[in-house]
Amino acid sequence: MRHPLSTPKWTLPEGTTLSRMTREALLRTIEANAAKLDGEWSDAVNRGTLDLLSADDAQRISEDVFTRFQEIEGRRFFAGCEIAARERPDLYVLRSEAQPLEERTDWPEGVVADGDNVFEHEDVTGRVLVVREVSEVDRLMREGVPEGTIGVIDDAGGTMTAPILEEFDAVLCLAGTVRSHLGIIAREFGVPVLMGVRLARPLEDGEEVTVAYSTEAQNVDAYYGEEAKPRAEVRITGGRSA
Amino acid sequence: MTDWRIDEEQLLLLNTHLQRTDDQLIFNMLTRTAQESKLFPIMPYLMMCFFDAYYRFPDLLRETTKHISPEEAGHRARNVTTNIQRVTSWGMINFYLNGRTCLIKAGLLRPEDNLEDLWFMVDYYHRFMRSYNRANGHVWNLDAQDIAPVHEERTLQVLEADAFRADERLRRAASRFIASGTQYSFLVHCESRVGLGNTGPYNMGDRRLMHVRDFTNLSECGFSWLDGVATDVTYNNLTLAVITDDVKIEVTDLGTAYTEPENYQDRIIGVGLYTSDIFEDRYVPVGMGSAAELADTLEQLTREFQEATRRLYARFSEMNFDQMVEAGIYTYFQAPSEIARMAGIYRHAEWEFVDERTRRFWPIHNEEYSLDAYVSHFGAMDGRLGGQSDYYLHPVSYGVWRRSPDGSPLPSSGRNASLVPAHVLRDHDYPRRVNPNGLADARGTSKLPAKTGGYTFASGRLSEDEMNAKARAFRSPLLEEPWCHVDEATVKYRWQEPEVDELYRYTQERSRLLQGRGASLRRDDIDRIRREAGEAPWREVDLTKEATA
Repeated sequence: MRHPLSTPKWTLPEGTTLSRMTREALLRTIEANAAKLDGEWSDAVNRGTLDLLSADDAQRISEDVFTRFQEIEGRRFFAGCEIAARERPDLYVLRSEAQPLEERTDWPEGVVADGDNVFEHEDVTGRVLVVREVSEVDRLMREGVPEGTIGVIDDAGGTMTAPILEEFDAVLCLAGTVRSHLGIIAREFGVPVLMGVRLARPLEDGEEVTVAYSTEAQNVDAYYGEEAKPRAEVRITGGRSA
Repeated sequence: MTDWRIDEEQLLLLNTHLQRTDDQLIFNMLTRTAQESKLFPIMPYLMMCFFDAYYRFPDLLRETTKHISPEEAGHRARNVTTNIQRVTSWGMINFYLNGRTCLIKAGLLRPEDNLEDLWFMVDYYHRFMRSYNRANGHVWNLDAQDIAPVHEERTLQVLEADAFRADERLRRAASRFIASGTQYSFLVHCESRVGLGNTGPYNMGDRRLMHVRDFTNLSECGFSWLDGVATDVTYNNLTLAVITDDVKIEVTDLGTAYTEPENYQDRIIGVGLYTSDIFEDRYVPVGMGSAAELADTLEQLTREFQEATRRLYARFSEMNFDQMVEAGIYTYFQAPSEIARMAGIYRHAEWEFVDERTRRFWPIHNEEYSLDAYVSHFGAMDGRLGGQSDYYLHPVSYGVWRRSPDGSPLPSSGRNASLVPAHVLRDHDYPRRVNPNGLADARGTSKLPAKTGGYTFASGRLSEDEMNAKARAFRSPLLEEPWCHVDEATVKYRWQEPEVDELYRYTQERSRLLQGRGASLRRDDIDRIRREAGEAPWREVDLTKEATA
């Protein structure tokens, strides 16, 4: 049986190496399996769908793709969630650990980061606490978040820090947009937050920073081509606490 | 196998609907959401939920139509808050169509395959939405400039009249309730927003608006992971009517309310709290005896959310990767399951397993490929099978380009929607349904513990059998003649007729200020009634003057 989707008139390139490798492998496999089947596509597409692509085929494709991906990209797959990297360190590295730093020469002296402000609030000065793991959230749930803490979170979701979010004086989120879940929830709690924060260098626990939450809130349509408003700045204002 | 065929009128309508679904999906994906979580494997569960939705939604929904029409489901969803609302109904069609897109782009499906299912799903969704949105006449919020005025006057008058003026304590209690409820809902729903619904805004005159915030699946319900941890959450669904002064509000097709200014809490001037579910046809007041009682109730419910958040967080922390993917799949997959509960045919076992046809994709849909594939299908619209003719401009991508700096290159000719080719009108060599033998063709497994808890309703907690029996016995005069066919277009000219007046009185039965008032009420009457009760009419609440004073 000839595969009916194998020669589209119009095609576009795949956006990423992984997409290209995976899609090519899928199509090659499905085309090869289709060639082994008798009858019409309309009979095979549902009843024979596991013949066109079996679980074993998918397992083999995933292993082949991973091997070639490592050869080309020189790394493991990125994972967004912590448990993926914890369970399969052979397969994943956390995307947040690979976030590039900003090489900015136009930032004023003392500014080490900037981000999109979710809502206007007075500026906040506080001590940095980087929260990246579920176990850290568990600990803070038990012990409480110290007063005057500005949480640095690399997750724009609304769940990772759910039990403790309200206890932060303010938050710097290293990902997402002003419409990400963390932005929505922090706004509802009245916890000042910058989203999509870019760092010139990693922030360290205990450093004192002052964040310009008084900056105008980012235009929610900036992601739809509208003009973006200036980003709020983060300054180092003190050394690490004892 | 059926010998169903599509005619040209249906085909052209279908393709128009497919493109409109594409437009709003791409717009919302570009502007409204960022798919990531450190806690949940969002992208794998999203992508694999789409496959399950494609394989099983048509037959699961087809079964419900033997008991309840899409129009009746829409009436019930409009009258009160159930778990089939804006975002879950959005999911009902989008998850199915996204699954179709994924299978086409994987090379496992032609656009014309399973055409009867495709027509059924698109037709079902539009019939449901036209009924649900009977008052406003839109299917998509995007087409209504991002507002969602779902409720009709008879309901809104009760919400307006009975809301309590927010003093500092009530305003604070409502704000913390919204924040905690939103956060808890994200956790319950594995980082997704399918438990959060909003309707409105509704015009309250001058600068004032009312919007209605719905929180669903808060207590023991169709999600097995809430068994035990959410047992002490009193209500499964809660609805907060929020009246604001000088706040601009939009409600997207994802059911989310966005405000301008973003920190609008200080501009809340009135609040009311209700519960409801599929066994109610009118909102049931919660803590609405006085403003102080309402604040007490909101504070108590907030404590319930916070405690359940901690317990649920601990439960999720103990799950492995595969279990968390499954929980996410079920969260999305159950989007239309409320209709099966309304129909009295809900079987949890049919909604919490992963189909073997989906399970095969497990190793391929790792964290990174899932994100890449999602962006490719529903953002960039690229790839070998994503191209259109060289002349094609996608309306949303082109809209972004028009707002971009001069000199930017035009977007590529990608499209999410795979329109059904016109040759199906003469060449009928395509399968009609994905499951020729119905749900018997859907087999799978689950790695989550079996559900042991009950289902929580305003009237109490029920077992699955009790719930289905009660659903089959459910009757409401709002769903029968003559009231089911009295809408605002009827009311406009027939408000003096006894049957309309009785409809309003029925809606007002649980109202603290409008009981027995009937259909003749206008805003001036509500103002007078509030004044007589010693409560300020909303038009007399002016935060600007209060701040100055």
